[in-house]
Amino acid sequence: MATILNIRDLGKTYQSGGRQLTVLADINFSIEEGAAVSIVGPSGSGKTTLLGLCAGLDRASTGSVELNHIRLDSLSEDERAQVRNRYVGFIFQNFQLLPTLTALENVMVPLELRGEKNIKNQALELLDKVGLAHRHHHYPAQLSGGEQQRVSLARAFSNRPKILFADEPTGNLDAETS
Amino acid sequence: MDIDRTIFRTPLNLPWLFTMAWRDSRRNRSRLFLFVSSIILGIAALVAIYSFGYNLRDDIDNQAKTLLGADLVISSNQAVTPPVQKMLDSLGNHSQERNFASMIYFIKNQGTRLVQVRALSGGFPYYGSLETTPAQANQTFRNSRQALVDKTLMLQYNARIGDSIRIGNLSFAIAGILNKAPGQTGLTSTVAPAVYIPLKYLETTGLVQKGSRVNYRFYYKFDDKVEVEQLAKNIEPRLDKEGLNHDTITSTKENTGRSFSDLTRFLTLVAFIALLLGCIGVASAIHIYMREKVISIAVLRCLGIKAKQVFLIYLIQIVSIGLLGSIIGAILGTLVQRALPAVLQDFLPIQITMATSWAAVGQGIALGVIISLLFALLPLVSVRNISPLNTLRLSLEEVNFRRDPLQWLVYALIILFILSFSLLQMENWRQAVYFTGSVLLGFAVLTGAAYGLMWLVRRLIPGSWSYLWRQGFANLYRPNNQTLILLVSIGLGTAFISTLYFVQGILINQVSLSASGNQPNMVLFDIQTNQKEQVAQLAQEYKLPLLQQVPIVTMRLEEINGRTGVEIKKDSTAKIRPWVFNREYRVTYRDTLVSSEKITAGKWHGTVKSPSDTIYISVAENYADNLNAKIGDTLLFNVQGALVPTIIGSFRKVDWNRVQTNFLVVFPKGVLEEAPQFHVLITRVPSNQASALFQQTLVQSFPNVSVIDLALILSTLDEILSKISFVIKFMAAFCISTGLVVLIASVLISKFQRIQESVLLRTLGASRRQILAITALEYFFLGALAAATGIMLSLIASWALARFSFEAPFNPQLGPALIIFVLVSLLTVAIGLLNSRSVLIKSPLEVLRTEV
Repeated sequence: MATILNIRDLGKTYQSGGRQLTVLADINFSIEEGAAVSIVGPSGSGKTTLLGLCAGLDRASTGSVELNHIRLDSLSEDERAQVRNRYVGFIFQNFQLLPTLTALENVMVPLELRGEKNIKNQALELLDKVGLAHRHHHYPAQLSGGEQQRVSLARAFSNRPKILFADEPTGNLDAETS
Repeated sequence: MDIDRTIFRTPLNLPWLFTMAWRDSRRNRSRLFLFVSSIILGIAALVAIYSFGYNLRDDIDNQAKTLLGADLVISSNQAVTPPVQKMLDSLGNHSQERNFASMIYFIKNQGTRLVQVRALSGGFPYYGSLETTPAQANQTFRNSRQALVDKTLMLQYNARIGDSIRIGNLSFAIAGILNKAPGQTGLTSTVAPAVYIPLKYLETTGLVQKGSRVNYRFYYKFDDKVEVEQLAKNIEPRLDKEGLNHDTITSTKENTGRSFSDLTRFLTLVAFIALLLGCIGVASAIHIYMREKVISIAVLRCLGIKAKQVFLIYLIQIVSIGLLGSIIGAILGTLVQRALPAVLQDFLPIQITMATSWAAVGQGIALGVIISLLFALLPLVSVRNISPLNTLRLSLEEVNFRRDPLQWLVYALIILFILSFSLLQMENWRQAVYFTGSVLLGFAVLTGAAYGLMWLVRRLIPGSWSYLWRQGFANLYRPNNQTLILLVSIGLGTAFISTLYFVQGILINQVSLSASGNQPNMVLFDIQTNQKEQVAQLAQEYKLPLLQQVPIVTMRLEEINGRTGVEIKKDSTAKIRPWVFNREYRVTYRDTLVSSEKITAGKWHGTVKSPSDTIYISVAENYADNLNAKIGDTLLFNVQGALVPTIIGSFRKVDWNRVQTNFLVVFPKGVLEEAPQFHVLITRVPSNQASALFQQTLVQSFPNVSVIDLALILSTLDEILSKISFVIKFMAAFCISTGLVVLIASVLISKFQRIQESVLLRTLGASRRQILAITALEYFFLGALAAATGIMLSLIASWALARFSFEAPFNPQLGPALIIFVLVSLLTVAIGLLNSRSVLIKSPLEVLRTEV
């Protein structure tokens, strides 16, 4: 199996109230393609920070992140955005759908960003897989929490990512919908 | 390992950016429209004035003939000599007019008034007409002893057609009411109402005597074949030599166009300020809008969008909405333009057409888009810095909308734009810099006041105050507050209106004060030498003091230090103003200084003892500047044919702001006593009634003597100011209305936040009345502080104007300022409450369901 994510000596510090706050230090691990990994820990232990660094949302203070064999620390913000668009899928705790776009448009956005054409059917298919094809023209505000998360799931898979990051994806759902 | 760099080279994908801009605006369009509503009025005002300016220019071109009434007008301030008359006759058939200031006497009601008598012969006007009631009066008056009397005079003295007026020794029947004469405006008829009489009766009136100040005009009409401009050019040297002036249709066109471009420039700048005010509203609204977009932008960044693409999506939205606002503004402007001729009618000598000017519409729209974009860029440049981390939580390095270095570039661009725009209007670097500086200073003071208020409120409000007061004050500095934007917009509008009142007050006070105490308040002029004693005696009979009796001799300047006007005009290095050679000087002679003047350089020479003595004259400082003269320079005057060489002996500082005679040039005694002259008598009348009685007797006994009294000056000034202030108020209304729109928009934009707060308060048990009180207090403080700061600004501006421009004492009338303060504060509270009413009157749950 090939390595999709390789983390070496990763550290992150913030300046907060004039003091240096170390959130992560000396993190090392690798994840193989196809593996499912959970990171658990008490609140404030740096889970979200780690996720952000792994997905290229933020730059590490020390160490390196290699995603699909690309060293993220040498890339600019825009280049990292391209990496995310190509290889990464996201599911957020708060779903984070774009409120001004319909469910279908939300799913289409990652593909549109790549400049792909004739993507409506692909997006509809994904919505169908999460059972929401019939609600494709609804705006997020018109959907329930569970439905929003399913749209978010469809969007996460729309760009056929090599790796999927999920930040407490069921945190805002009840037992039934999650 | 090598990176596949091709994935980073993705195109911008413009069509998709447009689609996204469209999609993203879908649920925000009414709010976006609210943002640009602030600029609509500013654009409307600009388009209206631009259109008006373009139409005016066209109309001046089309109606220039009726402005002048002839193809060529030659004028002179002195009677023309027979050779000159021969030359004037040789040019072709012409009409003649002699005009001068004189008293007229309404026989029926014994009223007297200083007017501009115009004695006319021939068929003038050749283009356009003397508009009269009845219409045929403009012809009938020419053949008999009849007069046309200005309509304001007719109204003022309750005169009717057929009544008699006396001008000099003759009485004339009123043939008709003069409604309009070529080139005449409402303003000129206020300052010098005209009375036309036939020229053939002028001599019998006895008003034209030696030394009388008469303007001679010759009106020519030529065949179409004659090249008037060429003709004027050919005769110009001869006319110059004889001290005659001339006007052609082309020169009238240029002069009128120039004076009206000054007016439209001024109005454009006021409209531009209204637009700037609106743009601050746009910047503030976009700022709040972008704050709300942080998460959406962060999500898009997670999904792989580039910073440039995000920036472009919102740029497209703002440019589109700016374009829409500008188009609406332009449409409104073309409608408002139709009202402008009515507003400006007293200043216009011609009929204005009201065509839509596409050039004005285009300029307005372009300006609207550029300026709304520039101001929107302030918050917009920061969206490039929104981190995708905001999707997970607001990052520790929270988005800072205020500290992007590119914002400094945008600020620089805005200042550059204001400077370029004002330079384009004023065509003068210094004025443009002053204008830009004043606008920036105004904004800076108001911004400073807003920050100062927030700082003070945060620190000084004691915890012991009741909750309602504390919450009302706290609203002034909470996140996303409207303190800054409302203070700037309302403050600036208030500053405009109150400056207007203060300046009006300064001008009126200046004249009133000048005549308080024992200062003179009546000037009698055109007194002939042989009447001098009798007039003085009459004044004494009426117990009026003879404060000054001044002889006046008219003369022209021929040479400065041996160089003639022609030589100096040719010398481009000479720093002497050409007008000093063109004008007629009214000069006095005396051996002492008067109270309104003092010597600042050189030595005062009061008397010349023998004809061979050097004549040392004294000149006013400002006149010396125009002459570029120093003590000891020689001036050669032409005193009605006699050349009199003089030397500048002293400079005088003169206080011109008094109801009395002051002079650019004062001769010593012993030189001009025998020259043709007339006299001025200055006195003080105790009341308007005494003034009227004295004038009646004076006009009957000495019909050639004219009177100016303070009451006349005050009423004329008051009328002129009320006409000007109407125009300024009309324009200021755009600023105030923009301020109100910004206020409404700001309240509506912050509604979401207010709803959340109010719902929370209501849920915690606050009553409607308490929430109403908190909201009212917040808006009252905002309105009151904005109004107070605006009034303070206007006090400073008016003081500066009084001190440096009018050189008058500044005693502001605080009554109107207080009324403005109360009105603005209450209006702010009313609009604030009106727009928050849904939050105030509905139940918390209902509000949450419908508004969120």
